[in-house]
Amino acid sequence: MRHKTHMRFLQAAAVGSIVASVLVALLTIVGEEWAPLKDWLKNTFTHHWLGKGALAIAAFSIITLWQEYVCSGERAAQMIWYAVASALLSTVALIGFFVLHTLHLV
Amino acid sequence: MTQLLATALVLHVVLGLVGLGAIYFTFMQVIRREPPWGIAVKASWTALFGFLLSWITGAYYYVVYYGVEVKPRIVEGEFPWAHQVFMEAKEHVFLLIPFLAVVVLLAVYALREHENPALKSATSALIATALVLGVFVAAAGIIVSGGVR
Repeated sequence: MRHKTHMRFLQAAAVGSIVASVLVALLTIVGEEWAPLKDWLKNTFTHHWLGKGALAIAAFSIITLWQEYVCSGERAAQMIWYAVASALLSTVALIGFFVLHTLHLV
Repeated sequence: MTQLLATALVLHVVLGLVGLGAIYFTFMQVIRREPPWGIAVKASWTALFGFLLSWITGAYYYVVYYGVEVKPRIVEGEFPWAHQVFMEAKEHVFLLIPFLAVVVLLAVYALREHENPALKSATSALIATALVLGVFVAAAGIIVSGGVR
């Protein structure tokens, strides 16, 4: 019973981290290309980076709590692999974007 | 720079390295044939706290001082790409790591209770990912520091 609860929470947190990773990459790249988003983050959270962090924490918390109620925990390992893929893809997207941005290609 | 900002910067670096060392140690325990789960749990808690506290202290330094005093010097200096590529990537990639550390901790707890080879493989890959991102962030920090000169 206790193990099943742990597995449910683990799967839920893995899904939460997938959403947080994708959200950080999207907010960063879209914010650089579309000034109103970055301005909104600055005005709302005093600094765009604090805004991205706060929204990532909020998304992770909400998704994890929601998933904890609805998931079974049987796909925890699979969701962890997706979390690995989303973290690596977000990292590649962020580094690639800033390289291209510095070279004035985007 | 005030004493408080200097302390925040030093703590950011030291706590980040503590987190990085702890996540590496967690990895080395989890990939063993018979992992000592008690030690792995302690190491993953240390990693999580290291990354979270490094985030808080780094945020204070970054928001209050870096953007105002350091960033302009790098951008107008000889190595503007140190900020434009490495600092920009570092500050955002860093945001992913604490969430991975939370999942690592929960996975280690789950593995301690029940042997599961598929979960162990996925967890090892997750820890390795957090480690690789952490090493990138640390290396980018060194490059950014060099870019100030």
